[in-house]
Amino acid sequence: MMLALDFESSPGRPVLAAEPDLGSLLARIGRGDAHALADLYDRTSRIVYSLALRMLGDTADAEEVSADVYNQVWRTARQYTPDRGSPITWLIMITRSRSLDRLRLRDSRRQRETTVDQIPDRPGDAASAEESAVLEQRAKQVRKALGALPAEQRQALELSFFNGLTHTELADRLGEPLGTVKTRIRTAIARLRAALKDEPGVAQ
Amino acid sequence: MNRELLRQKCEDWVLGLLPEAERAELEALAASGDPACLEELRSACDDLAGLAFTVPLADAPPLLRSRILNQAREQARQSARPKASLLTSWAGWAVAACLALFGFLTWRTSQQQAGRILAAEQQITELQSRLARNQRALAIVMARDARFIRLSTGQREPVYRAFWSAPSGLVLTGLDVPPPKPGRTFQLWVVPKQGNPVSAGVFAPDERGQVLVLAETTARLEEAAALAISDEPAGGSPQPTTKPAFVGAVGD
Repeated sequence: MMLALDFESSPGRPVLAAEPDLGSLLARIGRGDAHALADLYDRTSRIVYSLALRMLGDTADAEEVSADVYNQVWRTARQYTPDRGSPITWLIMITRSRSLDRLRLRDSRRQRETTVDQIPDRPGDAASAEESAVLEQRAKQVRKALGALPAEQRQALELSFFNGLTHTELADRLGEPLGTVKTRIRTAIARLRAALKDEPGVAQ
Repeated sequence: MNRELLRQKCEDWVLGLLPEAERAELEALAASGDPACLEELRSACDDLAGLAFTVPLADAPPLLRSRILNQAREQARQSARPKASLLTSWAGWAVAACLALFGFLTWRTSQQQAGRILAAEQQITELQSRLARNQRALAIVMARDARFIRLSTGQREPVYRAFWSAPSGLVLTGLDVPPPKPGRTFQLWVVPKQGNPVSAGVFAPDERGQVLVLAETTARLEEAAALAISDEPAGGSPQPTTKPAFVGAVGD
């Protein structure tokens, strides 16, 4: 099962990965094709920048991380193969990793506790209609799965994913015993994945 | 390790929750090409990465695109990229090996870059501190009201010069100063018109024999009779323990 955007199987013209798909773009980038990098940027920059902004809570930091992400893609795209997972998963994991690096360099942890309740129901107005539709569909699936979790499980999972907190840090942050936090995270992940697995729109 | 435990470990690995020893064990298993491990890692990655799609969408700054592309073009100009044919010839083993190592390398690269960023930031901080110190010293030297005090043994070397501005501070410079003996240091003193000498800090010359001391002293210029330099035990002394080798009168 994979939650990554189902670019190729979307009906009609693919959205984020319009011809050629993101995998092909990565292959071209790996051969030094700057036009492909521009194309990839145009198709993925909103989710990359938005994730960095969500994790860092600062537009300047989010911009720096986004630049780092595409710089890394430019340098390492030739190492990517589809066997590693979907291209968008690869980009997201790089973005998360870079954002966590930057978070660890900062003393301030402001803007790091936004919960899913504060997430708008729809993407920003500047998204293309098609991009918005696909992102919104996936976002709804995940939001639905997250929304089905008890609040404390959802909070623990988000703090782990978006803030990079360890079990011990989570226990400190939440004021709960370490064992309780471990169980909470474990249960949250299991329920989330089970819910996503049952979603008809999630690509396999 | 049963499949459920493997799945849980992979999920924890993706979130960075796996303890060090277990992380190394899992990465070794992935590096060995274990199909179950690779499948669970990929699946956990794909599922948990989906959380990113719940963030509020925002447009990247308009100039970011051109900045990224300019960087890429610049890098392309500066370094010849490997031929695609190399990848093709290696593809058979590289696909499996890289898949297993992908997560580990991503993590390690990010850690290394974080370390480099931290080191660079520390260096910048240090340079900024040094620059501020030098700017402050220069301001004292250039101050209109700065008094010049020469400290000398009457022989040619070494030569100390001090600049003291009441509102700005006290700077001591030295040329051709030999290093202090092991376990010893040089100490600058303000000798007041009345009372005991007041320490203005310890110092040692750099490898070129030069001294630039931005003295930390609360002594008042108008109450000072002279500056003096003595040889003291490392760390300095509350009061001079040796006869000052260099003395300079603070003139009007």
